[in-house]
Amino acid sequence: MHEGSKIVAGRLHRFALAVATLVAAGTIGASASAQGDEVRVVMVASTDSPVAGEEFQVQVEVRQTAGQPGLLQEPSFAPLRITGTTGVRHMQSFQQVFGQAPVIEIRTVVGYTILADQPGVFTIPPAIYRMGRRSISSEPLVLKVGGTAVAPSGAVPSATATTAGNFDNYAFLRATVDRTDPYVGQQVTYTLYLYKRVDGHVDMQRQPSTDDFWVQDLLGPHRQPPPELQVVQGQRFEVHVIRRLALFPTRAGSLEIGSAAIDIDTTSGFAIFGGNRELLTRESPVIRIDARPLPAGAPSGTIVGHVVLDARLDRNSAQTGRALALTVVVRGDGLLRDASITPPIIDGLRFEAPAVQDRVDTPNDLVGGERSFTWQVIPLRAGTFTIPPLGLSVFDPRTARLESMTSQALTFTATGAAVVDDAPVADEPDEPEDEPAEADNIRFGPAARHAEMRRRVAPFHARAWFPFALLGAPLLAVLAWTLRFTRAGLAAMRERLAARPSPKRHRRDAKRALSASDPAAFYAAVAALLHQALGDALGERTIGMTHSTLRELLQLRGDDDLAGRVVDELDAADFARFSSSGASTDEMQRTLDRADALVARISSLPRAEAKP
Amino acid sequence: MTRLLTILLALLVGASSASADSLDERFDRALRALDAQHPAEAARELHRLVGLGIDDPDVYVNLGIAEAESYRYGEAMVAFERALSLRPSDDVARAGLDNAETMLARRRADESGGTATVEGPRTLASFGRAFPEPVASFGTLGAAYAAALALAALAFVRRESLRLALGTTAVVAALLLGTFGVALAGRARYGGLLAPGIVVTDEAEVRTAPDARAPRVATFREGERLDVLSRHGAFYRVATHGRPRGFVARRAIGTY
Repeated sequence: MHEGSKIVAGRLHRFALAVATLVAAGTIGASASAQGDEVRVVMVASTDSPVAGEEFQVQVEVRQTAGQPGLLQEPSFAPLRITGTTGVRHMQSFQQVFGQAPVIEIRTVVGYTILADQPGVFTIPPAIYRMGRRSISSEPLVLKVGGTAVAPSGAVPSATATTAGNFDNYAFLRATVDRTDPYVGQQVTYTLYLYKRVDGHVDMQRQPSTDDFWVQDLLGPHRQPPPELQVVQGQRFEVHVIRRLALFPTRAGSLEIGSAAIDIDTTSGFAIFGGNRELLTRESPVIRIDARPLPAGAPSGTIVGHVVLDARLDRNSAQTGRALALTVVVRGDGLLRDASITPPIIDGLRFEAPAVQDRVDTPNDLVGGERSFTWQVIPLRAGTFTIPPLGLSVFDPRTARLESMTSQALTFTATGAAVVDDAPVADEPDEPEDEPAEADNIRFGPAARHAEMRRRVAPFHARAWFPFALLGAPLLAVLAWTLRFTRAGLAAMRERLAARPSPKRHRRDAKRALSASDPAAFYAAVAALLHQALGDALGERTIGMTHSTLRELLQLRGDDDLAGRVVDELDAADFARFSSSGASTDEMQRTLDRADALVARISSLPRAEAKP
Repeated sequence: MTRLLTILLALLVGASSASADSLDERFDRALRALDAQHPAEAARELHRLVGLGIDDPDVYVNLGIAEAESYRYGEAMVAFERALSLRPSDDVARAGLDNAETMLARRRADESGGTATVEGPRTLASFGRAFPEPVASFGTLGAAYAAALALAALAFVRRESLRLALGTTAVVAALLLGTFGVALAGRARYGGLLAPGIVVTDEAEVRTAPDARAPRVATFREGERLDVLSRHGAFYRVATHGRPRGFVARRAIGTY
């Protein structure tokens, strides 16, 4: 009872100690955490007396221990200009004493290179560091700029008629077009820029609407230009081109390129530990285009741009009824997909529907390329045929002139008998549901002209016999090796059995020798029979033992009579093996009977453990 | 009796010949529709052929072309995949598949305002597609028996030179068995997979249960590849990388 009380007291003591340790650790942790919430924002200038026209540095430093990383809101330096920025954020983790959780210190240093164009006293408002809902501010910075005024410099996006942007201190979208009064079918290059000073994932929320334009994207996935740096209203921005489109007005009048919208997710990576998502949404302004109509008399399918035509035949002679290939290539710049050429009607020739291929190139963001028309021309009778120049109406927007471009005339000869024109009546093609513009330069086919019409059959591996057939292979190998081991095992067993001495075998040998009247073999078998029986009884081989030793061994077993008889019988057998008197069959039979009696007595001896 | 048998035989022969004509006619009709730029009509005819049990690579190639020219690139991808499954060396089908994927990626990029790529089939499935099914099946069987016979012979042969030859044969056969076996595994869709699939509609909603009213957990877009795990009425249970498993309406998925 007394021992039990001591044990309980000891356990209570240890429990109290553990609780005290936990409370202490918690206190230290809480204290560290309380200290960790401290954030310090300091803004300093590299000089107290900067001079107009000379650059100087302003540095904003944020030190933060624990808490989530925040966002530094840059102070407005206007009318001073920022000509350069450097930024760095260090994160350092160090261990508290007593093995508490590590504390992370975040140190953010942003340096600004500032240029004042005129002297004066300027107050830079505090730099603000936002941590979720908390804002920590630095002291404002008062700068007394000396010297004399200098002319301002620096690129600011012009506010021309073709440019529109909603300036914002952190990020804004700017859209430009290279012309606002194009002709119908003339290219207008629209570029959407993103100006940003914050890091974050940019997500396009809305594309600019281009309902009255045919659109060609000029920026493929591998043609994104690298961002540039630009200073706008004294602030340094990273400028990304996020859209560049070639727009071709499809009708005359006032057209609109709609507003694009993006989201910039500035949420820190640490937000996975909690915290608010910080999303900046920006929209680009709408741009209006006044599209001019083509001059009166411009036929449908007029190309606005510059093109040349080239026509060729694949050969100059053909059999009647056999097709020649007539190819006309329209090459140049402009919206060539509008190009359409009508083949002439020539008596004795049949023109099949053309195969049209397009290749769109955009060198220097100018859409062009080539469109080729290939007709299968079938001569229906013999003779020499001339395909007249094929023409296309082209409007040059620079000279505002409409002209007709033509290919050269082509001549070929057809020979053979006249054939009947059995062309099927062409019907209207299917109207595509929603034809994407990009489908033009990708072709599918050619279609197979013949099919064997194979029926669906179950695959071989799914047929019932397949697993069994597959299983047969390993079974075959296993069977072969089992057989091999079985055979080897049987042979070894047979060998072992054959090698193992047996009294019965010796007696059988003796009987066989008796029948054959072979005294030497008989007495050898009798001796072996006795030795085998002795060996089994005594646990050691007796062959080779002197008879006196054998006698002693048997006497030690307490049977002197047996010892004498066995030794006598062995002596007699040894003698008889080399003596002719032992050859009598009766004597041999009697010897065998005696040996049997001795074996029986030896077998009744207590067994000894076998010796190696 | 003999007369009756003769009539029956004639009827059977006539019926089979009529059926063959009908299939060829359908194929020709589809071809003419394709030539005349009626891809939707061609696709309808070719779908009918497939519905009649035709499993021919040329039919699938033309179906893929017809679907692609109708701007149904998901359906086109399924058709080209089926053609490639039957004839892996078909260049037209391979180019068609690549083009359909490119067109879908472009469309997606235009819609999302960024670049987009279409994920290719899984590695195992691609490898499985590298061999026609009979080659993969009989290659596996042949290699298995070659290896087994060589091993079996090794059990009895004592001549050293012969044993060396048998050992080499066994190793080579085992390598071939591995190659054909992996290809067959890719084709046979082991691992509980019913079939690889492709989304053929603009969007396919993944739901938590095979019920159109069940909560939606993800959305697939046309051309996205997924693994069809099992069939549940009008729904497939599907899985793909990086998305939760769920149930998608069967009409939105094409399997190959």
